[in-house]
Amino acid sequence: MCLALPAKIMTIDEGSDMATVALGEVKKEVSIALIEDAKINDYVLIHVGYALNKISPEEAERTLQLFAEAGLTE
Amino acid sequence: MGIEGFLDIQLTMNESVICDVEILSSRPVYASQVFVGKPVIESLNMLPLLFSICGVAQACAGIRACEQALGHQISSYAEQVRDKLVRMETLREHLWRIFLDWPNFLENQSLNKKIQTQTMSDIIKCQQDYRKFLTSGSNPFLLEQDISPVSTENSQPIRQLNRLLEKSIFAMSPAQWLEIDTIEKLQYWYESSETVTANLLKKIHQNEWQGLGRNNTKGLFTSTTDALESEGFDLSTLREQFEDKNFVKKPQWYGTCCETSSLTRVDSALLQDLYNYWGNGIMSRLVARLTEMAQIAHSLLDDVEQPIQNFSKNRSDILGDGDGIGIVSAARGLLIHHVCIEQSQIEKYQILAPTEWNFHPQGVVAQSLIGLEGGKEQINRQADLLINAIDPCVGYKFHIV
Repeated sequence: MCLALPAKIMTIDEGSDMATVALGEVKKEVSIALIEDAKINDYVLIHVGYALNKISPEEAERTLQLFAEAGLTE
Repeated sequence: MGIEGFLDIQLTMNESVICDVEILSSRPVYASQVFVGKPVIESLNMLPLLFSICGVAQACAGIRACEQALGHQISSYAEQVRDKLVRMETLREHLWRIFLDWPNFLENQSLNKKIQTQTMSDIIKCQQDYRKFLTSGSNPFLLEQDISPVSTENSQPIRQLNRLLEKSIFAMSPAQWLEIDTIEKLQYWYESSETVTANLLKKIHQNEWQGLGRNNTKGLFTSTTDALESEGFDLSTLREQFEDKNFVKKPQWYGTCCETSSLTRVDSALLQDLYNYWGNGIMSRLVARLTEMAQIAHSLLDDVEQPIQNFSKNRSDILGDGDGIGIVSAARGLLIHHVCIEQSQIEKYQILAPTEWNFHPQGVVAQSLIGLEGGKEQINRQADLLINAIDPCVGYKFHIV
């Protein structure tokens, strides 16, 4: 099942188009080259080291809630 | 390990030959149960967010299952739009995995990171533009959405995608590449081209690995409902299978493990020729994926007004009220959603992904790995290549004992 957690952008390095994102307690470096106008605090879906698209904070919250309900984020 | 789970593959070696394979899965195959008790509309909205990697295919299987369960009629145009969007996603997924994975199998070829990112970005842009044009901003994967036919096809995103394929994958237009119909012509192509795809086929030829992983696993039934019905396939049999909770974890069809992938759904004179020589070995697998990409790119250039053959029709007359099955040919293989709806709420939601067919403990991956021989380093390389050729998107680790 191809699941992807919403991650929150914490910092951005504009020179390299890389960002540090937070997936819960875990922080990760990802490329933000594939999305336009990425900003700190935006939520993005991550796949194979790339932020694929932005989602709204409401969608992110709802998705994370669903993951929690499914017991996937324990 | 991520939330997507992973596959733990143990290869048992005896005198330099892999004689047994054990596959343990921690994939969250029951994640769709989160929709139970929720309204249908909310569930359909959440589907592509929860299962976001092949989100279009997931949304398409979901809406098809729900429409059937609810007995909703759907225009053939809307089905054509969905079908085109799924095929576009399949093409994007194939392209991405080639750019990400195939250079890793070539010692002397590293893809420039900037070019790689730019290409992936271009693909996303083509996909977005195409969807925007076909749907005028509406969502074709929600209930009772009215998708109006567009008067003329805007082929710009598709033309751009064809150019991208020509430059990076085929070294000629996809339509020209589809004219390659024999092993000899294929060999000439990969020996005279310098794309990452040609170079990987060249390497397989040089190592004489064409038949690597060859086995007798059967192909799963193909795709559309029309095709299934013409094959005498009874959808109620499929519904009965879903009564067994284990079906979505370790699926079999009439007691047999089956494969579902590009190889089991794409056909051409070239693939027939390859199959005659190498069976379902790695050369046939990789060429099947390339063939599928070329066929999709070429077919998407067709006029949007041209009716699509074999698109699914409403099947509410076959299954009972409130019970629906949605089938989609996703990038990795057949994706099946089964839903039971009671008073507009989800009572049961099951998803059977292609990975579970292919990585069944006795399935095509296990059968492909049995019989590999050589040193551990070579077997590692071959196993990686085979697994990637069958399903490039799954998280796995393997170890040889």
